[in-house]
Amino acid sequence: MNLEIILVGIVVGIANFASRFGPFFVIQKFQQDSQKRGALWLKIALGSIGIAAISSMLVVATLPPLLETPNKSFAVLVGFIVLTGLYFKYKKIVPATLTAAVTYGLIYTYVPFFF
Amino acid sequence: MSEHKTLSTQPAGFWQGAKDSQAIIFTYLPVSFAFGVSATQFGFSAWEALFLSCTMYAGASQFLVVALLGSGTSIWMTALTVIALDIRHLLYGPALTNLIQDRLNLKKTAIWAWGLTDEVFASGMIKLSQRRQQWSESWMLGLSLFSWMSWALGSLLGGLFADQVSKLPQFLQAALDFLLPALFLSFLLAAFEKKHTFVVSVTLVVSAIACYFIDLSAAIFIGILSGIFAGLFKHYVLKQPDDAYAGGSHES
Repeated sequence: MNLEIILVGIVVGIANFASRFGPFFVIQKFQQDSQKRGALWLKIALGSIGIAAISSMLVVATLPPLLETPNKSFAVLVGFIVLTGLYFKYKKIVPATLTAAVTYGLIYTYVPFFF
Repeated sequence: MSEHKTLSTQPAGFWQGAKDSQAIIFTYLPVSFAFGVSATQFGFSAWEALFLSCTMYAGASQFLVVALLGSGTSIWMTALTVIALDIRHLLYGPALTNLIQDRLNLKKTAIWAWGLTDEVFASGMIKLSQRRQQWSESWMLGLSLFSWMSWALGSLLGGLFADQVSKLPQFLQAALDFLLPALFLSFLLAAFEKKHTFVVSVTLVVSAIACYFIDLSAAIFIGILSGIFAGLFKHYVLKQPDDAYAGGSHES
């Protein structure tokens, strides 16, 4: 195996582990009393991270391919509509996600769309 | 995950976490398969792709690693670039801790936190936000471990069967590109509540602008920061506190 791959894998792996586990470790060690969870503004800030992260990831996963290939727009729109409809109807993530992906594939492959 | 409809308030266990990871598994397998294919195209072996997925477990950043190394960039510059891309993970621990009521078992936490990718974080956050009593470290361990295994397996398969992708029907090849956006929209629908409207709107707009004018990894980080500021702005300037904070206008 290539030595460069081994080194990068180990170095980045350690850094990723530190960034993922480190905050839990630090917070647990310095938070002796669970009632003292910091100021209100901090709770609000931390409470906003989750939904903001998901929203950002949706944008980052969706926008670049659309900018690169604008004729995907219609298929993406239909895929999102199908996903939203199925999710609100059945409240199940897996079938909604997979059905939307297949719908996107079918629309993008077989429905002509000129942007 | 959110489709788990039981009204039980018992904490979910390891196998329920494994079961709830299926949305992530169905997304990770094709995406990591694509990573394995990409790695072989840059001259790396299937086993090197597997090694990177097992040790780094860095999602899209891994595509960058093989591209950088394949184009002759130094290993240290490659490592620093990927570490900078993944710095957002620092925010995930505090965000989850804010919702976790029990004291953590740090040995167990170290294992599931290793697999705290964007998708696993989103699943954990949804569980903690909507069915907090069902969340447990064992559930998180099952979710995290099976997601990691699917990512590693997909990378190996992609490296071994890189030449088979072109034999898939064209619409299925196209469908693979849409899995990640679809998964994140599913997560957003599952996590969304009316009180999030302002934060989500601001984040979507700001991250889209950052994505267009700066770059992808910066867009996630900037998007999260804008969401934090939007949450604070809504509470302190617009005077629209969430129910959870409505009675806590005093600083503790």
